[in-house]
Amino acid sequence: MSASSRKSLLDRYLVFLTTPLLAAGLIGIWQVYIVVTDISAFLLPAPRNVLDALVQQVSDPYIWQVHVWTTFTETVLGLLIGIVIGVGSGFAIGKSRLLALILKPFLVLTQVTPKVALAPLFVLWFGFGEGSKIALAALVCFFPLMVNTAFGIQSLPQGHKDMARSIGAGRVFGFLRVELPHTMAYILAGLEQAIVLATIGAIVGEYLGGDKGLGRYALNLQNNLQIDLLFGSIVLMAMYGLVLYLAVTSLKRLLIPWHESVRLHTRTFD
Amino acid sequence: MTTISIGHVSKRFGPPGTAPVLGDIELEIPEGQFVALLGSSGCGKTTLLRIVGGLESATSGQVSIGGHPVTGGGADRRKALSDVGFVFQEHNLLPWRSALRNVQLPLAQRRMPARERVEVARQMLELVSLGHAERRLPHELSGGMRQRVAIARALSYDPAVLLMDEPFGALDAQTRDNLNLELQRIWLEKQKTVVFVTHSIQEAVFLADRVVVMQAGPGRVVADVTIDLERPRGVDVMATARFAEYTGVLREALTHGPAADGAHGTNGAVA
Repeated sequence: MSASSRKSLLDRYLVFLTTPLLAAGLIGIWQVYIVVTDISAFLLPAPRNVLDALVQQVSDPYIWQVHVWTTFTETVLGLLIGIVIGVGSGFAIGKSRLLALILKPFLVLTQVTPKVALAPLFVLWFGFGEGSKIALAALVCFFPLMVNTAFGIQSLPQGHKDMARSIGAGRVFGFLRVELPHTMAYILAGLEQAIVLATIGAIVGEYLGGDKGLGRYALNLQNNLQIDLLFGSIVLMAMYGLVLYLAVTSLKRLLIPWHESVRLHTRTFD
Repeated sequence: MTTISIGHVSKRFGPPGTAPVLGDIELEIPEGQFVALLGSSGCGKTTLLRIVGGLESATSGQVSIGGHPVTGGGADRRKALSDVGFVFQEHNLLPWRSALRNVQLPLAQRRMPARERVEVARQMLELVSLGHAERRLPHELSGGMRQRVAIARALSYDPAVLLMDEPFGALDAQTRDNLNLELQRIWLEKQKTVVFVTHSIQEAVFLADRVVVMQAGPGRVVADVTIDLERPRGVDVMATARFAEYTGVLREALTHGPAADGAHGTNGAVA
């Protein structure tokens, strides 16, 4: 085994050692802080109590079937709408310089507007049910998809275009075999951001109304002063976000194994 | 029989009145000939090649391949270009396709059935001595191997004309020599008409039947030299006196332009 491959092995497995250590350290500090300051359990419950609460929540089918499932469907449906609109408009803008010029001010404006500010309006339009949450999730997640798609199309190397022309490729062939696969790497980079934003959109939407979903559940716990359960629900949401994010990263491994952002190491035969 | 005919081609990138990149190029290339376009950077040799390959339009003049005008439009142009393979300075392989699938790309464009496509692509990779690497992605190949795949791709649909734009320019000397030998072998086997752009005098003499020397300001042909060396040529040919004579003549043409009696058009063989 060469020195460099030993180093890359270390790089790869280092986090499996450091992450539990760091987490244990933070929890230790948390515990010490509680003991030393004697802070009220309504402000900061002990790690042990939060763990108990979390175990209770994870083993409660109602949490899964109602809250997690509701947030999940909202996130995914919002994301799907965001993908259709974001990738579609991204291709249009990326392919048409004129369209990009015309739409740019409008797009910048939608980007700088805090989109969660539209949430009350969405509740008005789409009701207290899942509709308003899906709309909000779609709205906040479409932008990175659009920008990345447009950038991907525009970043197609001139050499690829020359090559496509030299083999006589037409528009459709060039799009399907050259532009789309090239842009896929950029779409997936956008998707990595979009999945996180869609989750935020859905949960913020739930804060504003309705009776189901992880956001609504957390708000109820706060109102009932069930602080250890509230902490547990936050851990639950973090796990939820992590699982979705990992799903997208796996999708990248599956769809663009050739891309630099996925390749773990480069083999060359020079 | 003329395969490639370049008639009064000029090219200007800026608006009318700005200096042209190519002056008034006249060149006839017969079928099966290996022609090297030799010149220093900026002389317009790549631009000329791109015009022949239909990647760039000419400001004036005509280019035809096998009797079909490239500089026209529509069906004639498609017909002309369907018989042309292009190898670029960059390999321009698609990074998500294996070597085999990169070679298949032009065949897919030509709607060849999948099974036949794989078969032809395999033969092409064998031809460039890469049969063992068909499943590798471009990033798993060395620079020389990538250019071999690019050559296999350009040859896959059996075009009569192969246009090569400094294909080995970015490679180290050793790899370059090897690929020049291989290219000669392939050319002897396939008998294509080749136009090979290079700035290396050695490479031009080693590979070509005929070396066309270009100079800048505006790009024009200043010498046209027939290389009369026996084939197949081995690396040792570079050490011979006649090889040195040819390189001397070409160096002279590159630095001083046309001789007093006008080297242009003199298919002057060195005695």
